[in-house]
Amino acid sequence: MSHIMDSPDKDNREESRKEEEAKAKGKALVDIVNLVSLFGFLYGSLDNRLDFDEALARQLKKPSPNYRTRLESNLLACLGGISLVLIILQFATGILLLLYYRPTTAEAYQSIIEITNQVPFGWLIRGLHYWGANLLIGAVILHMIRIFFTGAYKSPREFTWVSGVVLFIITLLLGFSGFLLPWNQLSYWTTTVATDGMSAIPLIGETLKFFVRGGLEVGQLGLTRFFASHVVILPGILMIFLAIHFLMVRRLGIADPL
Amino acid sequence: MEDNSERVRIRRRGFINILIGFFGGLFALCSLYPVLSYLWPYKGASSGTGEFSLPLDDVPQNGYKVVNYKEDKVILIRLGNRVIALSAICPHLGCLVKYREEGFIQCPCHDGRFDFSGNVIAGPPPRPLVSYPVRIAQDKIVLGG
Repeated sequence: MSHIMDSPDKDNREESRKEEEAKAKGKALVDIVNLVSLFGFLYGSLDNRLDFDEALARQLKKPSPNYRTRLESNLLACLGGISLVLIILQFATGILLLLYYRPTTAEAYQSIIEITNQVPFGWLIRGLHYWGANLLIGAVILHMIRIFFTGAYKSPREFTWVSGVVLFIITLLLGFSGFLLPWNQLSYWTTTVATDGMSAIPLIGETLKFFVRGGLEVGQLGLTRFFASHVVILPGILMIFLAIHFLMVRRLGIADPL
Repeated sequence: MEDNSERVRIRRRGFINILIGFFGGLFALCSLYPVLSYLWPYKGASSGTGEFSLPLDDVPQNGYKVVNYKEDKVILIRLGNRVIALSAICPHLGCLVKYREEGFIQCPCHDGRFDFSGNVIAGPPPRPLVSYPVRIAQDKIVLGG
């Protein structure tokens, strides 16, 4: 067959046929992999029920913000995401620390020493939790500053901002409550001084101090309270507000530059 | 031309996805090792016999010395030909206690007082001082064992 007789139409058909073949080949390979892997089995049936792929593709196709400068669109837009990654790290390492930590005045410091010096990789887990906490506070503050100075809090995103402020406060409270848990000199006296400051609040100050300390001075009851706040109460509230925050961000999209 | 570049882009994206998957998986696998060894119940690491010795002359007669021993600080008090070994960390708020020649042990922070068995005789400490086994062997003080 000479090429003069070939119509462009035929060319296209040829091409599409080749493409189909390639697709089929790729699909066959995927099917084989799925067949021999439990993941494929689960994922395949899940995908049939839930359209996982489509949902994922939709999420991944969301436009990233396009600001005036490269710094704004690449780095500054990532601060919220960085905060989320750090929160996930804090949850993971916190759960691991929970397996060895003993929240009593007699044992707390001892158990921290044990985690750091005797448990395999305990120093790593504790170090990650410690530094992650510090970095998280920094990331959240920087995220807030970015939102403020790019005016991204304006209507219709006021509620996203409000939920973000609540998240910021909870983050600070998590840092404050976690700090007491090692029960060393520094954390004990920091907590004593910080709770003492509460008594400066008019009318309810003394009562609030008594309530937070769990007594006249920081003791076992106070440690138990701080522990409960740090591992259950505050993380629970944090998760609720995180869900609200992300839902709002997804619904309203990302703010355009001013 | 148009769809050709499109196909190249899709191929490139696929390649990048494979790379991300590969390195992500590698990272996850590497992270699994420390996490699993952390989770595995470890042997309560009591290294060696737990003995610690120092020359007898390091502790002055009718005086005291504080030494580090097993994650703790231990106060050694020498009275005549016997030596007393107690934890030197006050159970109240963790200050280091001192030996007083009047015949008791005192914590300087809030005036907690203990006798030579470690029992509280005055002040705020909630518990007695932990005592350690100690003996004198050939002008050496041997702690623990």
